Amino acid sequence: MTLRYIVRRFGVFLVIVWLAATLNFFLPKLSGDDPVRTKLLEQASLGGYTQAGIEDMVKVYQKHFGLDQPLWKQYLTYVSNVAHGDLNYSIANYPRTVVSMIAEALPWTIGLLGLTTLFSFATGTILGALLAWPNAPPWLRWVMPPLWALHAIPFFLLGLILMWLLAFQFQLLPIFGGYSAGAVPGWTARFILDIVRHAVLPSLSIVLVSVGGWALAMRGMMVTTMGEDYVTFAEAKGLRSRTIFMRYCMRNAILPQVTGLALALGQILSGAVLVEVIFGYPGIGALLFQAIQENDFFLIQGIVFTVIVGLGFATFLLDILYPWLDPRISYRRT
Amino acid sequence: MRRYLRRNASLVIGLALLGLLCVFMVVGALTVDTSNAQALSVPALQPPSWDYPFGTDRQGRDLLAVMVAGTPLTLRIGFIAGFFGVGIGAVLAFTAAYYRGWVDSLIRGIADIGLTVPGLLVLIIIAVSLKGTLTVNEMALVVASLAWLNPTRTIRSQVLTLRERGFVEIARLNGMSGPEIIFLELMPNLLPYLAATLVSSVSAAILASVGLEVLGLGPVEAPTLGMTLYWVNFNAAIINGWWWWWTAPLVVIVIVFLGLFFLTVGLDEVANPRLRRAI
Amino acid sequence: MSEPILRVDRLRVAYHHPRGAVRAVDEVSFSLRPHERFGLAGESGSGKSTMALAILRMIKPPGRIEGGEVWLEDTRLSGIDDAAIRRLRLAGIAMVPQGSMNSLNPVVRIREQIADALSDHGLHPGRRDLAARITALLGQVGLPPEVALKYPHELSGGMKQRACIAIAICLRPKVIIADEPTSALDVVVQRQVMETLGRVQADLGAAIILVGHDMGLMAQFVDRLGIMYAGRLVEVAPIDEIITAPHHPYTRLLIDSLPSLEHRGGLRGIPGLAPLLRDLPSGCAFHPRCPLVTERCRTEKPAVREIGPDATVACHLA
Repeated sequence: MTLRYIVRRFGVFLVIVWLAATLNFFLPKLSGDDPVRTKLLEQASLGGYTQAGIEDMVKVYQKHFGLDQPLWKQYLTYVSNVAHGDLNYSIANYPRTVVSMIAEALPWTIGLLGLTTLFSFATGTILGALLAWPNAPPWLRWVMPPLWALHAIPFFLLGLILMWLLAFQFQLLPIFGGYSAGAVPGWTARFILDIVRHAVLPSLSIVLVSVGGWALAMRGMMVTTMGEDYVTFAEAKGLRSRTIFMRYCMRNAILPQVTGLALALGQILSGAVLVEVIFGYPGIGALLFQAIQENDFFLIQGIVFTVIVGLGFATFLLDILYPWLDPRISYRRT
Repeated sequence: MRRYLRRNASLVIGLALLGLLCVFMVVGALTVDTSNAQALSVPALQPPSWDYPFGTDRQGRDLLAVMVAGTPLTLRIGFIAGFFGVGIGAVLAFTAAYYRGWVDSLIRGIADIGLTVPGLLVLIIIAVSLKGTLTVNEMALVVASLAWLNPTRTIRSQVLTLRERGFVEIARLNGMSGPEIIFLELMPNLLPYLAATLVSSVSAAILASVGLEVLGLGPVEAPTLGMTLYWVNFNAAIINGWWWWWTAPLVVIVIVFLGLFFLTVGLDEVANPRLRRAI
Repeated sequence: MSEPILRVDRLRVAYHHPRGAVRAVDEVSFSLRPHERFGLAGESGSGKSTMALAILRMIKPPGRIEGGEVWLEDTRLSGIDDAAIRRLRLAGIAMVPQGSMNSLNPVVRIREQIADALSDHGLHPGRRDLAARITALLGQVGLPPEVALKYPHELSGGMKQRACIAIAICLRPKVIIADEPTSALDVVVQRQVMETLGRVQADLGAAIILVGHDMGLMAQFVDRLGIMYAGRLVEVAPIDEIITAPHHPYTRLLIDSLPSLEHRGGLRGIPGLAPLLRDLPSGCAFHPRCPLVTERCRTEKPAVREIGPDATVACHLA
């Protein structure tokens, strides 16, 4: 794998980051609304203030947030801030910064999303591969139709059903949150168990829906691969069934699967956001929801930007992984 | 024909489910008073009964009326955005795949980068940036703005494989111009595939719009399916035990997605004669 | 005549489709002597590749071996279990595949593709022994040792084909079945590959079945030739006999259709098309295209008759 290839993919990553920041900056400006003013007016109407003092307050805040500068200057300041990791203050939760709020929520989402995605990908892929293999255990075939049907509905819908069934009706698992209300955070076993209990329902919603998709795709790829000449030759070589399955079939069928993973990351994240909202799971998704409710514009911007950057980076990692899996790639790819 | 339908079970199931929805909507529109889908129309929080077969919600909406009025709204958003998406996507895809060169690189580059970004988030930014609350049609346009990305990619790869076949060369030698070849030769061959892409695009659009609505960014006044779920969440209906409130929209959404899913799979098989063996 | 190393006795293979069964191999019998070079020629769709797979018991559903026997020395191949037949593949009977384009695993190095054959057959040489063994094998087929570390896409067509031969001989099989080993290669490379094949076969003392449709190639390489048509073995004879005095009309037309350097004139083919195996004519399958057709040919399927020590033919008129 050449250095040029890595540099090129990293370049794509940087372009994505820049694009995200720029879009993030300009799109909102299209509406002509001033987020600070809107927020202040909102606060004012809630509290019953008069108009007079508000304008002065707005001016002060505008100056503070840099909103009284010409557009191009704002843009440059914004880009430079972002490059330094400063995503501004949260309007609704001032004086907390956006970065600190995101930093609090991010580990929850990475934990939930990372683990569930890896798990469903691995399980689904193996399941799909086995389903295509004639010598697989027959009971596997019964697992497929329900998974297949499940994979058509969005994560959060399954989340609702599971929540009602397991948390409400049968009271097996907690209904929402990341951890119980009275629990003491810390690295104790008790707390960790509490976290795990709270993570079960959101995880299940994602896993049960995703597995079907991965399995279906892998099964298709395996069927195609099994018809290839090199598999016929492998059999003529008298190789064991397991060797042919792992080294000749799976090893080749998994390549498009990994591509599929890279492409699906965005969708998985979108679905996960909604799951967090439904379950009140304290990750990025819930934070985003809260920000939307509170009209906290900078926070929304910050979250969207962080997510895009995160996904771009994950895609970049997968791009780097790919030539390692498929030795044909580094010679030809863009 | 009947034998084909028997082989292509997915197509049949998909059409049946969607057909069921249509019947529900049509019969509902004729028999149910949809003004009851607005807030404060009927007594609140009634469990399902003879008067209110789907129950009522906390703001005094008759849920049956909400379903009857809301389902077509949600579907409409999906269809508008889906059609838009495939329409623009097809034009871009055909252009890119036929002319190749820098046009292709440009279009493909934009589509690829656009796809890396999670669509929902960009939609959130757009929705939040727009002044005031959205109407149903505006919602559709918001979703449509990103809906062309995936169709462009998939249609483009299909056109690329077609392009290598002989008849494109022959058409060109016959003196047909670029757009002529695109419309008269390439497109007719891809119709089944375009149909399958359209259905899956509609499904994705509905998913996106429901997602936005559940987050509270949808048309607040309209009784769409997603907005109903938003109110469900807002009022913690599950914990409060008002099961009928979320069961109705859930069932309808599930039928919509399953129907579109089976239809996509069925159409995929029509478009792709390389049959995969059934489960 | 010494004991045959491979004996095929009235083998029948059919594919079962919803629209009816297709008889791909129809009562084919022949024997292979040790060190012998046997050619199996026929048009596309004549059933020769199916034969090769059937000998290795690699026919998959909807295909099935319907009857007949294959004997490797004293072992009846239909009587042994799956594990045993797996061990026999490559070690007893090895196949050199068709289309070396795609016969090698694209994501695995050549070295590993030889090593896994060894290890799945119970051989686990130490690292250095393995490397030496692989280098020796590659040398036998005329490939430099560096090839071991390469991936298939880094090799040319001829090199890939020879790598396949190296894999095929790594366990010193008694029988080699080469299924159209040179079909996608240019003439120069073809010659190299055939030379390699011949040399390797002589070194091993193995018998070889060369499956193909190139009569010129057959004439240069094999000792005995079998002609397949519509799933039947219509003639078998020593190569000189077949070229100079073929018995079956189809064989005669095949030989005649070979362009010759001496006689100039139009190219002669065989009129008509090979029949769909699904839809065979009555009686002798060749009768619609046969210049010597009689009434009997249309109704009665000719039986296979011995007409010499190593020759058989299936024709009413021979």
